[in-house]
Amino acid sequence: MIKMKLQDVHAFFGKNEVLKSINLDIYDKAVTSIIGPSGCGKTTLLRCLNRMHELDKNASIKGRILLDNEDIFKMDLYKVRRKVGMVFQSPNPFPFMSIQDNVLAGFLMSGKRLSKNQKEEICEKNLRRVALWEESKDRLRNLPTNLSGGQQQRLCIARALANDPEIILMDEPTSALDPISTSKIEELIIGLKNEIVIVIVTHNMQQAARISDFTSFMYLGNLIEYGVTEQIFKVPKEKLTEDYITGRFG
Amino acid sequence: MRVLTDRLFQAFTMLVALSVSIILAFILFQLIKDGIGSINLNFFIETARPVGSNSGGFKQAIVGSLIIDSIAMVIIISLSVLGGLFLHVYPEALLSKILKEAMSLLQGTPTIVCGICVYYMVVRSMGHFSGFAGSIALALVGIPYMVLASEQIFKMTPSLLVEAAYSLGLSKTRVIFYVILRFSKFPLLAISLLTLARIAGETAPLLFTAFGNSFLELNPGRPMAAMPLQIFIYAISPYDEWHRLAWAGALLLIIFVTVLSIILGRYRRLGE
Repeated sequence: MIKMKLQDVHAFFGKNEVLKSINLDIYDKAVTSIIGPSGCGKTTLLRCLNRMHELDKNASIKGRILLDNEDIFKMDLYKVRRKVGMVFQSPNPFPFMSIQDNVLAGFLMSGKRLSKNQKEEICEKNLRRVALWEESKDRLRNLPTNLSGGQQQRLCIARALANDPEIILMDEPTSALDPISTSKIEELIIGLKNEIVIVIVTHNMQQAARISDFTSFMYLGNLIEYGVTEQIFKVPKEKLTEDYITGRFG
Repeated sequence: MRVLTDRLFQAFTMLVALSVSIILAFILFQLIKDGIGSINLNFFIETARPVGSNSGGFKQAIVGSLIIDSIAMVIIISLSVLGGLFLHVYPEALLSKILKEAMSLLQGTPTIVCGICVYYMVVRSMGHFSGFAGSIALALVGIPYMVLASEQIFKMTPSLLVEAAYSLGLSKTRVIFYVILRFSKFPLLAISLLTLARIAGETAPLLFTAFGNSFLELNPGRPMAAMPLQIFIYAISPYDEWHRLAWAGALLLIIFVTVLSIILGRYRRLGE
């Protein structure tokens, strides 16, 4: 089932067109990865999906992006961002809030009142989902700055999950992490795909091959090829995709 | 040759640092030498006395300064944080450009001009001098400094945190309140203390506004004494006895500013 559908999406920074007529279907209960060389528009594409692209004053988007057949540009902006959560390249927990409050940030900052039991329940549930509960249950009131980079990134995923999104966008979530932390995040992504749609931008082709069900290859703002991961990596239809995957350019 | 130039430059910078430190040390030495003798219990619990009574203190000035500076700080913090936020959130707006220019201009305005303006705007319309007018004059001195500093502080909020908050579906107002203001809490406190240290020693804006008072006055609607004003009155008098009190008052003011700096250092560490 298609969860999100991009129809002729163009994105601009000022007059500079950074995404050119993107058409893409993102499937439910699957991990979709976006690969491509630096500057090809991967992150811009990802940021269009929850309208984060619009945060830049010079940025604009043309085309339609449908979430469950509803145009996200006609939906309430904040609702879109609650439905489509995001995890960033560098771990960015709020340094002035405790670990527990970080998990609950979406509720606390939007003024939703939660009972003590609800808070504990949501916190435990989401920290367990990211396999951080055992490591942090005794220091929930501590600041997240004492956690390792990998733990902080998992906390950020828990924060995004606690908001109960339908899709999570991940912008190179492991690029700032060591191999052990990276493998934990990858396991987590594979574990989560039955509950939630994940779209991940990655520089690491092995990672895309390991964790994603669908892969899209981008080059200079164009979506060159999109398909099942196995097909993209084993029998790419496009010459450019083959050259990129085999390391002829990057 | 490179080593020689390096040594020469090092020696020059050390000389400059030393000469500045000597001036500071001289001021401190003079203040302590002439002021410490007059700092006793009476200094804190007595108001001004006539010459010849060989006593008298700074009570009315200490209390007056506390009241005037507190009111001034409430005005400064509330207006400056809002002004700084406006500059940060709408940097391209015409009003922002006007505000920024106005603040830069006001920052360079002699403080006595602020005093005269408040004299015409507040004192004359009220019909009398008042501690409140003094607070407004001090606020005029402190606001430009703190507005520009707050804008810089807000700019330091990492965009990663702001984006994280937006990605949770928060509105701009909530991002400002829950992320930008919370992240800036400690630097804002630090800059408030710096501003307090800056206005606490200002005399000129108080001359035509708070005016001074030899008696204890708790109502800011009436003329009030203040530390720098009292030091000024004692210092320009021809009496040795009052001169000693002026030195003591100046020493107390320096101690106050030093304590603020120490607290500031602590907040800076907390902020980091």
